[in-house]
Amino acid sequence: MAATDYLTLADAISIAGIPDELDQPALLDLLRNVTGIDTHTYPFAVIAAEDALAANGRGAPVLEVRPGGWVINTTSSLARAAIAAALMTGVMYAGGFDQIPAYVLPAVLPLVVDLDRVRLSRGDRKLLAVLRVNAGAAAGQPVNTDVLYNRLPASVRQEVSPLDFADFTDRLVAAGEADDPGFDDVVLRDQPRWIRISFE
Amino acid sequence: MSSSAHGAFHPRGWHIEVGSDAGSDMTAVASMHEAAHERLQHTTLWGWLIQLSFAYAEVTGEDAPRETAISMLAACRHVHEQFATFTSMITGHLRLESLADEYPIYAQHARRAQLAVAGIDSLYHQLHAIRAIARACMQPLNLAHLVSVTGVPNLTMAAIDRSMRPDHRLSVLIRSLQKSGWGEAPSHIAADVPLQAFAESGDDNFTAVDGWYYDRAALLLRNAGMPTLEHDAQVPIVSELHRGLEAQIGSSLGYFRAGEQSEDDDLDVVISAHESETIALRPPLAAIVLPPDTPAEALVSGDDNLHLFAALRPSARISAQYTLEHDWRAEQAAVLRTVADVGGERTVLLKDVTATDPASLTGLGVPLIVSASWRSIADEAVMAKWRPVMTQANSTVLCDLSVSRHIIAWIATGERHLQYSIAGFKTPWGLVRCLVFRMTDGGSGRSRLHLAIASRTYLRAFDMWVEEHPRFRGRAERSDSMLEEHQSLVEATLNHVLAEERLFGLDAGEQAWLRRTT
Repeated sequence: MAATDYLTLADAISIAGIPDELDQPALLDLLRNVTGIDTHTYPFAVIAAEDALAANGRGAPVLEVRPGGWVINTTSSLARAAIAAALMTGVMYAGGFDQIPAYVLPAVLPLVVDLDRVRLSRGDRKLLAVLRVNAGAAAGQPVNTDVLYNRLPASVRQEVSPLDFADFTDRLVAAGEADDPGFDDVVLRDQPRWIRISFE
Repeated sequence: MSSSAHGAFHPRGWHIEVGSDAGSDMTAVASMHEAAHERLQHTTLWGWLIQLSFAYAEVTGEDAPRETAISMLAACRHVHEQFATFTSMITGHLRLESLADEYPIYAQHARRAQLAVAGIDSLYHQLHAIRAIARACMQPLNLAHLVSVTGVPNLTMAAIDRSMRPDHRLSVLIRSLQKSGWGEAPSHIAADVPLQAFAESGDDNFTAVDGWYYDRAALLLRNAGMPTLEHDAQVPIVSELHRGLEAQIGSSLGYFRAGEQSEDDDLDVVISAHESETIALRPPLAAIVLPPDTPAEALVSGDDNLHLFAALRPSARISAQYTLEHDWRAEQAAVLRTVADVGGERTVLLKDVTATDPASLTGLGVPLIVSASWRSIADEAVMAKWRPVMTQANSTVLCDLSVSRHIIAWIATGERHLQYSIAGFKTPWGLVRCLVFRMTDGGSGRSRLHLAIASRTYLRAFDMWVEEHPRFRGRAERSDSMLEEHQSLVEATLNHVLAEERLFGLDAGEQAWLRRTT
């Protein structure tokens, strides 16, 4: 791959700049500056990014009308990682990876994608990520998506349908042009596999 | 922004913080917004399954159904908010710009809703369309099949794939609508109905219009591979699940059962749903419980009309009003109350008179005014003790139980008539509205006055309920003379109630109340 055409997601975010206090308009600006995605081009991708960012705050069984909206302090590294995951979720939704609810996706991604090595090209609207489906398994052997599903934390499995997860990994693997051995398996590789998500 | 009204929908109802103006349009919109959540929950399979799961978990103490319900709520958040925001904005005559100023996130929901109804000129038809989108997204056929196998207690989110999840269905449906549009409504339902005219006299074509938009949304979902229930197909399914759960646990789950209902029953359901509302006028008040040896005279209130004010309330409800620690020792408590300046802060002074003989409060040279909670006097021991000092001239009932259920039961005796009025009171928190009513026997027999602090939305629903339900024909009248007759009692009571309490709801009979507001 021509690495020079791409920025890491973390670098792209740094260049765009994150305010110390991020609110919804600032998140939308960041998403637009880093990826080119906005509410007109991909309304549901924008919603997905916001849902992904709000995922950690979920828990109370209420629907609330609150004035003013939300704001998060971005100075901690955890918050910055959450913002990166949120932007990636937005990009993935724009690229058709909407099989898994956006508020769960940040918890699923680390199993299948090496988030630190995610790269982004704003020019031709592509995202490159290293597929991690072979982590912890023997290279060259097929592994069933059910096996991968069972590697998800129990709390995530409660939220995600195995069918949706299988569709999601199918799509990831297809994006990486991996071999499909059939029988719902994913072929493992001994080298990291770059997958390409196009969102234009 | 902290002065804006806001609300929260809970499994058992909703809570409105009125902000700086209880009578503002924004407060009314917040109230309508939460009422819209309630309606969507109770007219869809997805919504009912959430409600039943929460109720089942509450009764049995099982965690799993509660976890499922929380996840299900998260998976329909956008459908709910889009529907509730757009509906309350249009019916509350609020402009998108005003919404955007104070509620920017909700303005986004409204903008997306506007895109979904683009091409429909009539606001009335837009409301039908947005309701159809929300309902169709929350009516997945495959979920009906799934829950018929698992039952409500064993339903898990992992078994619910995205074809059944409302927010995913919404994104698919919106894309379909962007491609193919709503199509042209057939001529017999295409007529616009101005919203004011609809509010005043309804629309004979309502069911047909509602059905056409729903069928169109359901068709688009089905064509996208997402099977969808017919318009009211959830009713018998939910009814059977509801019955089955109640049979299994051997008690009521506390909801009107979703059954085959007539339009008259629907009116009862609508007013009952509005009674899920709790109004919060402000944050908890500063309060002090005075030492037991404080003389009652120390709590005399009023400048020109000196009096002693006694409030009978559920003790948990008193604790929720104030920031104080006090062991009330009884489920139903009695307090003398007044307000004083303590250290520069307006503070509610309370004297616990739960164990005091009420007769001892009547010989102090000033009149005793009693405000008795409905829940408290439903306790016969409380009533037996206080009845001797409570006359129609010096006491009122503060409604904290369902108004509609009591009135229905009273009217059903065949002898009683309803007299009611709606009064507005200017307060530092804006105009606060109060329903005042009493029952008569058609002659000179009268009950005490009952007072219910309520939102504009609830009071409109109450007015409509009494005007339209056939049980009230010849049996109910709006009577402002009743207010004039008891003006000083009502004013004195509400002066205390509005200055010294902050939470008003009709749910003191429900266990869930404690968890919700304390």
